[in-house]
Amino acid sequence: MTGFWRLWVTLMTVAAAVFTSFGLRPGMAGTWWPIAGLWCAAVWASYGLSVWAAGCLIVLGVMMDYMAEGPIGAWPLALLCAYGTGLVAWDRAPPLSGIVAEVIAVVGGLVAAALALAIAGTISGQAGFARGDLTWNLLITAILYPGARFALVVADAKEQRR
Amino acid sequence: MAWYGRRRSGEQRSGARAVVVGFGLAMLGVLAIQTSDIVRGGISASRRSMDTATTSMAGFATSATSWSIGFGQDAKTKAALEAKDRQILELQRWKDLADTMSLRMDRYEELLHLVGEAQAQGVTARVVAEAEGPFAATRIANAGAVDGVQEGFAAINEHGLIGRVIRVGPRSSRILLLSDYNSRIPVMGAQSQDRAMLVGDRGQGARLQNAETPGKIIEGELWYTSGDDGQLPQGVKVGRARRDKNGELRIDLSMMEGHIDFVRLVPPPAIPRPDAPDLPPPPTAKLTGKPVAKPAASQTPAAAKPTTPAASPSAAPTATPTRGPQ
Repeated sequence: MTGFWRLWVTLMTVAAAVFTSFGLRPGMAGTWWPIAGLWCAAVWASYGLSVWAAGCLIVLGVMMDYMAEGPIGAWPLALLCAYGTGLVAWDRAPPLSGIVAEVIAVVGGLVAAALALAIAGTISGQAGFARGDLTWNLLITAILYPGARFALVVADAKEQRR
Repeated sequence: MAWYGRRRSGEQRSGARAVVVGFGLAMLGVLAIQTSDIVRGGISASRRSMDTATTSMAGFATSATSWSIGFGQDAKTKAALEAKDRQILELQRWKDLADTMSLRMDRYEELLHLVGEAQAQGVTARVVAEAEGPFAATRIANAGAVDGVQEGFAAINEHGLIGRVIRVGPRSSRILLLSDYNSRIPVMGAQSQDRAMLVGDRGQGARLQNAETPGKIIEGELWYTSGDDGQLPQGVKVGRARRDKNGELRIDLSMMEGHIDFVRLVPPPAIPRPDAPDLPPPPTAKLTGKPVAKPAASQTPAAAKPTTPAASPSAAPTATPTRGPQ
């Protein structure tokens, strides 16, 4: 990996953290707010495996845990699971087309992240797990993904990847 | 572009895979050790400083958004501010009246030697961040240790109790909402006088558990804090009781009636221990100079005067604790 890639991923991590903090504004509690970290996980997976990207996702996840008062490690695990799901999907393209791989990466990533959060809550002994708001947040994340992808992808990943 | 380096060559990166899988396993380990109270205590210290960072980030987000929304809305904003000014003037008149009545009440209590629950002053703060993740429902207020806020303070707004302070930073405090899964508050019904534990249930609000006489509870009855835990002031509105479709008792929380913006952070009632060494002398009537017997309803642990077994040796073996002066 080059320095430019690392710099770009780091900047996007900071941007995702700032975007997440916008969801903490007063009056935003009942509003659906996309999870920027999952966008990053899905997009970076399209570039292939990167330890730097995984590390940045962990840092971002820890920040999200602190912000949302979750058990430390829950969001990093969720983002890594989404990243892993994306990697598996993109590793099958070809034979899968790029679009199909991308859809699997995003939808599968969101499902994997939700499952990982539930497991994290169980492991760390949380009193409960609120699925309602999370489901809507995941839905809006998926809906807005095509727009976010343009901001996060700096080159044609499919061309560069192979 | 050259950024893809080795990956473009199709080379297997088993080392990198092992590292990423290792990251995931490490996260599982980190989650598992958080079942230990010692580890949670350690993490709590770091959360305290991170709350300050979260407050700053949310403050930045709020100011950035208000700038963008406020652009081109000067006339509207001006009208809103003028309306607020008028409201403040009106409220100021009410505040003056409340101050006068408070002084009169203090005077009456002094005359009656009423030792009730001390009315704590508290701190008014603004909610600057709303964090509702899958694990916790919290708010962050912009008052902290510097302002005298401590863990355990009750958070109250115009609708009633909203939660309590679970962590305090220098200039921020995190409030656990009543609706959070981890919230447990002792409450009592206004009419039934029944007591129960209010347990947070997130989307559903909160439910009543361990009610003493659930048959007496009336639907629509107002419920208040009972103060039985010694941590929350008594008589703060919590919500109205109802039964859900499964017949389970629930409380429609008052805090959900409106937006939570300003909150009052109130310290726990100051109730001295009955065996505290420097208890004040028993109250004596100013006119007669004799001890005053208080009505039973007004007697609280704070009013208790311990009976010394040595004072009446003959009664000592069978003496039962008494409340209030004899």
